[in-house]
Amino acid sequence: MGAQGKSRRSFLKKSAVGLGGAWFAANHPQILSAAEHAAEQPVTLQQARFAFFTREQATEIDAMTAQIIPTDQTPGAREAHIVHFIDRALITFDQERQGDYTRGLEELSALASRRFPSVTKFSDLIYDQQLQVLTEIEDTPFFNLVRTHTITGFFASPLHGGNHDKIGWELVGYDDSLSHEAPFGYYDALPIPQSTTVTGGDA
Amino acid sequence: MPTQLKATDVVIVGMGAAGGVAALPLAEAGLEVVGLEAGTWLDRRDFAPDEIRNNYRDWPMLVDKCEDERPTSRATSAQTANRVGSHPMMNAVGGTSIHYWAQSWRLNPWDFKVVSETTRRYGRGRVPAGSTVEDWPFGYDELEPYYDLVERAVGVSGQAGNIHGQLDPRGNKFEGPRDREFPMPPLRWTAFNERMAEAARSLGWHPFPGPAAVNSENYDGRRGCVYHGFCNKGGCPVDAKNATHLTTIPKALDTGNLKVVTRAHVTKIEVDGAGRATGVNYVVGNNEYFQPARVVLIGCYTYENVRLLLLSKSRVYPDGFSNNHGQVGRHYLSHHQGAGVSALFPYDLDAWYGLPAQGVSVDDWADDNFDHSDLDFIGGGNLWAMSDRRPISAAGMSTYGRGRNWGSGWKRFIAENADRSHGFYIQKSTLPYEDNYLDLDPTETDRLGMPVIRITGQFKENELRIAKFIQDKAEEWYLEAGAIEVSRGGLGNAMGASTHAYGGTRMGENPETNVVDSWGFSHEAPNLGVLGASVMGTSGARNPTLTSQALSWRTAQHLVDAWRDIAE
Ligand SMILES: Cc1cc2nc3c(=O)[nH]c(=O)nc-3n(C[C@H](O)[C@H](O)[C@H](O)COP(=O)(O)OP(=O)(O)OC[C@H]3O[C@@H](n4cnc5c(N)ncnc54)[C@H](O)[C@@H]3O)c2cc1C
Repeated sequence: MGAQGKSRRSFLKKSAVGLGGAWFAANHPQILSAAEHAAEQPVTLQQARFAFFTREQATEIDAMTAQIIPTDQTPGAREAHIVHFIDRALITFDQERQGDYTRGLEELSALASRRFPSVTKFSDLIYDQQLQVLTEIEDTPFFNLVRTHTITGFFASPLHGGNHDKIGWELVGYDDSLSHEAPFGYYDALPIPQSTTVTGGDA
Repeated sequence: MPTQLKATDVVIVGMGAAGGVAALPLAEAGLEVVGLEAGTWLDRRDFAPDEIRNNYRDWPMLVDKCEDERPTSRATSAQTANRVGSHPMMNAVGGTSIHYWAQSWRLNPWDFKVVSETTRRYGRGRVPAGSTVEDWPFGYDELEPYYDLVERAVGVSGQAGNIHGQLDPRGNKFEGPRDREFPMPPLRWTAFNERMAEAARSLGWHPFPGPAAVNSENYDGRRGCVYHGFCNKGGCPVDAKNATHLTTIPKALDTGNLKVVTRAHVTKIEVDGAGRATGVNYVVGNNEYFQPARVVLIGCYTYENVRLLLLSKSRVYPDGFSNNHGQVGRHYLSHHQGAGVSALFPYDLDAWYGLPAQGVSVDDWADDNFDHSDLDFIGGGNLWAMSDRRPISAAGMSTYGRGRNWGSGWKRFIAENADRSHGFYIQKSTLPYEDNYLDLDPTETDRLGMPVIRITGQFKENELRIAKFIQDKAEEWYLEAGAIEVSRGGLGNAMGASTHAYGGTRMGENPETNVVDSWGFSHEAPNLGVLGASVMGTSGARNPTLTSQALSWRTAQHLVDAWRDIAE
C-alpha cells in the first residue's frame, strides 16, 4: 500500500484513535543507560555513503530505527546497519517507496519542531523526546513502513546489508547453519523444559 | 505468420507439477512429446536461503508470466473485480512444485463420493443448497495405483496407516487402503511435534506424520532433507524436495522422446473444422510458432487452463475451446485454508530448523470421519501442526496484548518468544457452487493484451461452519499441549486467487455439467486432455498436488492405451 495519492498533510495522521501523553508516561519503557549513551553519541554516519538518502535523511532514519529496535543490553537497529539496509532497499526492490520516505521524513522533522520548537530535525531531539514524537505517529503508514523495513532488515540475511554480524538472528536464537542435527523428535525426543512465565513486553 | 514446426505426437502445455508427471508415461511408451514451458530451467544454485527473496519479494524469477496475468477477483457477480496483489504460482520447468511446501496427500475415499455418501449416511437434503457438487466418476480405488506410481516416481516420504485394510496406528487410520508402504519413512519430528502428538492422543485423537514429497533419506540419487528451513516459497538448495524438474521430467528426457522448449508462452489452441485440436500457437520473445500435434494436453494450472480454453475461440467453439456446453470456468472453488488459529507456548518449539511438510496431522475432524448427524454442515478440516519458522516472519508475531510492537519492551518480548508461537494450517472441505466461477475479465489484460481471468467466488455457510467447528478443535489441541495464549483469525469470505484452485474444467461423465470425461479428455474435442486440479470437483481437506499428479499419470496412461481412438 503506497502512500501515493494521499495528501502530504494526512500522511502522518493517525489511523487509530490517538494515544495521549498519559499513555506515553505510563508505558515509558525502562531505557537502559547503554541506549541513552548511544543516542547521545554523535551519529557515526559521517563517512558512510548512501545511494538514496542524503546524509541528513540517513541521520533521521537512523534515529528512528534506533527507537524501533533500541540498543540496550543487546545491540539494536543501529549496530545492525538498518539505515544501510533501507537505503539499499530503496534503490533496488522497494524503489516505489522512495516518495513515501521523502515525504515522511519532511513531515517528521516538521512535527519534531512543532513539538519542540528549539530543533529543526527529529534526530536533534533527546531520546525521550524522540520516543514521544514516534508514539504520536505510531499508527501512521509512514511509521509502519519504517517499522516493517527495520524489522525486515534486522532479521534478513546479512547479504541485504542489515543484520550486521547476524545480531538480529542472535537475538532470537536463530543460527544459520544449513544443516541441523538436534533437537530431534520422533526417535529421540528431548525433554521439553517446563516453565509458565513469559518475560518481555511493555505490559 | 507463425513459424510452422514439425508435427509431434503430443504437446504438453506447462511442464509443472502435473504436466511434468504426464510426460513420463508418454515418453516411456515411445510417444514423441514436446513440452512447452513459459518459464526456464532453474537449479539448486538459484535457491538461496533468503527470506527477503522468497517471502518478502515473492520469488522474483527470470520469467514472471504469472505476475503479469494476475487474475481479478470479487466475491459476487454484483461487484466489480479488482486485480489481486500477487500470483502465488511460478513459471519454470517444474512449475510451482519447485517452491511449494510439498505436502503430498492422497485424498480420502469420502472426497470422491461426497453426494452419494452423504445421502447414504444422513439422507437427502444434507448437501448444501446451491452447491453443484457431484460424485467423481470413479472412487479412490481407481486412483490408488496411480497414487502409488507417483509416490515412487516423484519420491514421497510418510507413514502408511492402512495397507490392504490392515491398520497401522502410526499412520492415518482414516486413509484409503494402500497397496504398500511409502517408498521412504516420514520426515523426523521435532520435540514439539512429539508433544503435539502426545496431546492429541490424550484427547483421544489419532496423530500421525504427514506425507511429504521431500526425501527423508537418500533417494533416487539425491540426498535427504537437511531441515534448513527455507522450503516455504523457496526451492531446495540440496535437491531434497521432489519437484518434477528433478524427478519425472529428467526421467522422461532420458528416454529421448521428450523435448522441452523453455520461454514458450502458449497463446492459443488451434482447431480444425471438425472441432479437433490441431496444435498450439506460442510466442518466444517476439517470435511466433505453431506446434502441430495429434494430441494436446494442457497443464498450466487452473487459472491458465481455463483462460487458454476461453481465449481459444473458433468457428466451431465461439465461446472458447471445448465450451459449447458453457462449462469452462464453472464449478470453481478455492480451498478454504483461512480461519487460522495461533498460540503462544511457554517453551521454545525449536521450529527454526524445519519445513512446512514436517509435522503432525490429525484427521479425526476431516471429511466424514466423525458423525455429522447433529451438525449443520458436511465435511471437515485437517489439522496440521507443522514445524516451520523464519526470522522475519517470526518477528511479525502477535504480542498477545503484552504491549506495542516496537521499542525495548517488544525487543525483549521477541527475544524470548520468537520461537514460542505456532500457527495451525487448517484445510477444509470446500464445495463448488452455482455462483462461484471463472471467466475472462472484461477490461484487465496481460502484456500481450489478452484478458486475464476473473474470479467470482465466496465461501458459503458450509465452509464457514466447518471453520468455526475446526477452530474449536484447534484450540482444544493447543490448550492440551500447554499453550498459554490462543487466538483465532476471521472465518473468511471472498475466495480470491489461491494456490489450491479447483474446477473450471471439471471431470465427469455428464457433458452437460463437465468439461472432461472420466479420463481427463474433453467431451467436445476428443484429442484435448486437461491436467491439474482444474479437473477436480471436490477439494477434500488436504493439498491437491499428489492427486493432480496421479490423475495426470492416469490420463497419460489412458492416452497410451487408447492412442488410436484418441489421436486418429
Ligand atoms: C507456496 C505454495 C505452497 C504450496 N504447497 C503445497 C503443498 O504443500 N502440497 C500441495 O499438494 N500443493 C501445494 N501447493 C500447490 C501446488 O504448487 C500446485 O497444486 C501445483 O504446483 C499445481 O500443479 P500444476 O502443474 O497444475 O501447476 P504448476 O505447477 O504451477 O505448473 C504450471 C506450469 O505451466 C506453465 N504455464 C502456464 N501457462 C503457460 C502457457 N500459456 N504456456 C506455457 N507454459 C505455461 C507455468 O510456467 C508452470 O511452469 C503450493 C503452492 C504454493 C504457491
